[in-house]
Amino acid sequence: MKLSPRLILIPLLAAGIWLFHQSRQDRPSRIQVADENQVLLIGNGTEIESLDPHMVTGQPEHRIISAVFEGLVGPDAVDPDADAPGVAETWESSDMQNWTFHLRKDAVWSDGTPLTAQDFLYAWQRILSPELASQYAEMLYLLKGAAAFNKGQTKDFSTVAATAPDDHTLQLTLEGPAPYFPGMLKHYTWFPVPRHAIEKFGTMTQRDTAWARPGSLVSNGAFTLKDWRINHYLSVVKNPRYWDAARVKLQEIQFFPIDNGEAEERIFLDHQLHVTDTVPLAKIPLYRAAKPAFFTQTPELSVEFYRCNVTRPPLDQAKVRQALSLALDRVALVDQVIRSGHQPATGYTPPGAHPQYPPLKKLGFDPERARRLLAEAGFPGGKGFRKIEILTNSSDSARTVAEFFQESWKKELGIEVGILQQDWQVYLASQHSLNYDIARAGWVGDYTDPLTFLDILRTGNGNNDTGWGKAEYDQRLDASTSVVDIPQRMKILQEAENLLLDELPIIPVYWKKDAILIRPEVQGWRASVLGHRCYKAISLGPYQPLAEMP
Amino acid sequence: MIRFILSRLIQGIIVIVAVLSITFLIIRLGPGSPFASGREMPEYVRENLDRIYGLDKPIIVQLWRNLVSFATFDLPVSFRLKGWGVGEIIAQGLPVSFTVGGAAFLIAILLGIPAGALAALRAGKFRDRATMAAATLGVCVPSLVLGPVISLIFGLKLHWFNAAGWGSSGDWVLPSVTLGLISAAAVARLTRGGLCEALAADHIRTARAKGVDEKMIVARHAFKLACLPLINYLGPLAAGLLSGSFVTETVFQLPGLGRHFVSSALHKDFTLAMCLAGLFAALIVIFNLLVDILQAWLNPRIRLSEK
Repeated sequence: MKLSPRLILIPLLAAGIWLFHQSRQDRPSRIQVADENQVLLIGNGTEIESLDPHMVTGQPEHRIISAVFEGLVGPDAVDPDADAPGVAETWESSDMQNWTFHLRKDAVWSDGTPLTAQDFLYAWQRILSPELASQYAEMLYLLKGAAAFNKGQTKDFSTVAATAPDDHTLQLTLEGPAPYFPGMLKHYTWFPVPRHAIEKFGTMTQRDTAWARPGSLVSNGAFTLKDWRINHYLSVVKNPRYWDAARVKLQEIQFFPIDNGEAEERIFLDHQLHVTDTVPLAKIPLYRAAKPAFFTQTPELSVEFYRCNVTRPPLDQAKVRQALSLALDRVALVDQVIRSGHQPATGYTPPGAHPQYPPLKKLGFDPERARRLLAEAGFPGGKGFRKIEILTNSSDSARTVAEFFQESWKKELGIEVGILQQDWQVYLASQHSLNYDIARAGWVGDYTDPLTFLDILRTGNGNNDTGWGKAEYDQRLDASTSVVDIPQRMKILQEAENLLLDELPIIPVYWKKDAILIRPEVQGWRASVLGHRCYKAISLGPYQPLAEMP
Repeated sequence: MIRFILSRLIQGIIVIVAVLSITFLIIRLGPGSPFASGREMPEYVRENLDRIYGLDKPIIVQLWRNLVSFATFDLPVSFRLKGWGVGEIIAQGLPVSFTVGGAAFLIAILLGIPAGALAALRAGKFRDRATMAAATLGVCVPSLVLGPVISLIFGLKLHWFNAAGWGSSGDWVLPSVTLGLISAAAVARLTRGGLCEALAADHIRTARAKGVDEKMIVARHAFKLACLPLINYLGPLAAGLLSGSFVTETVFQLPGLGRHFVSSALHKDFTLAMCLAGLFAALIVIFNLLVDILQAWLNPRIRLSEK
């Protein structure tokens, strides 16, 4: 009998595939190797723009910069939104306006240079210098004289009320009393930067120098920069010179810039990440139903709202805007359309902004009243109401929400609504130039105080983008900055928010929740409404397999 | 021949300058600013930024400055990735895209040409129909669908390779297979078409009538002729694969050039976008030149000097 070549080839091929399959099964996963070496692998969203604290504005940057730098105040290990000592050991203020910070004497930069009060003054002068054109310098405007210096009204930095009586003391005077001030210092705009390292590569206010790159970055945080490959990973290693190095358990953190939720989920399930940045929106309802141990959702200090362009009729009438708001069933939107566990907004400032500032309960679904208000505004049954357009960025989820609005307003009010999607930069430009009717937007708090939300709707604020302004509202906000008594201050801010919700230049929709996937080995990871992380409290336990999805 | 190459290179330079200018003008004249972020900045900060980067100058002056910096290889910095020169960014992404794209190109040729040839030799029979059905499917399935499916099966289920990511030795395999399979389908269809036509040509009939061995006919005579349309296609294909694919790089999270193409345009990072578009144009010019030379060598009827 003659053997056909096929009869030999096919079994050989099958055996080859089987052998290959077996050989690939024993590869240790990235997680197993990382667990053994105390290396934390984190998904970090979009690629960061820079590690220079004065050149960036985003959340992904915040998460890396707060690992390599440290401000006067740091996040607390148990509640990262609470304040713990950072470079400052202690601080005090008798009137919440004049603050004194006592810096620790053992603080050094990662190259061994002592870290002094002068480094902070240098950093604040740098970020406030008009020549640097930092996009986030406004965060320091609370400091007396900072705004005038930043706007170029004076060239003399000594007009800014920050002084260093000695190398380990800083005295600051604010524009008004601000009990939330220490919490604000956890933001990277207030961090120190190393003069000696920056000026090796250029002048103080020179942009685009290489000082914040691997090999040259000198920092003062619990970790130092080891490597950064664009769109690939950024790795930071434990800083042995950090004052609290004994408490730091992780040897290394690797941040992966993963800008696609589906890919990130696959990488997590493939045992390559300890913590993800997001969960794909479409998958959140599934995870919420299955409740695997590695899925968690926590509130963030963030509100999703829709801007109304009040310079364009008919949106210039408060009654029209109220009608639009009352015709929205936010509960149905959140529970049946988005299904991501967000909280339907009943006010503007989200819960968690301040312990003594409960969210207002003013917004709701009342189609009857909505129709009545629209009729009072001169559009009974939507008659004579021109077609308006909702502007969103070009994401599917934004479109889904806009379609819900479109249908609600057609059904309840009888008005025609179109949807316009634009690419991100164009969408931002359209809003800023008031070239829209209604636009999707959101705001994330910078510090735990209602002012971080209410402030953007002041008359003419750069982030207002609605054309709306009301002297009474601005006066309330001004008044709140000179009151020390907390209950009284909260009352004034509440009055302001009530004014805002009567006029509704923005229509709040929901308060966001953050969803992540996190492996069981990760210990000491605490939720924070502001996205603060206390990396020195995090450690990795022994490897555990992921629970199966039911 | 040398005159032909020289004239094509000069044409190529004109093409690259045109591509750089058009890229610049489309991005700069469109709405949006490279500095816009979710947080608005005060007007005086924006004015300072425009002054620092010369964006307050007339658009023609800006264009000229950028062209000069590219022409003198004094590459500008990226607007989004602050402190990085666009040359450094491309130098990081290029090896990744070349590895994945080069492997995909080989897969496309090594799989596509034999499949197309086998189909042509059995034209009309079952094997032809089956191969062409698979190829049609391959042309139709987008990498957005094929990529995640391949990643799920060979990454998450069988654990042959990492489901996504870059850094381990086998990480190029799945993205290359995704890109390669899709391109192989087009290559197979072109090979089959070219070979079918060639086998029906007069000189092949003559050769057959003279009793030349059938294997010899296909390998020596028909295949050369059949290659011409295929080679025309392979030039742009190589340029496209080597410069990276946005979808495949997103699905497999590769640090290649493809993601920069899209994000630089979206973020109005026009220096990076110009550099990428110029690179892509250069690759197209080079590969088209190679294609022309290869064709002249394969088919003496094409005389380069006459083109």
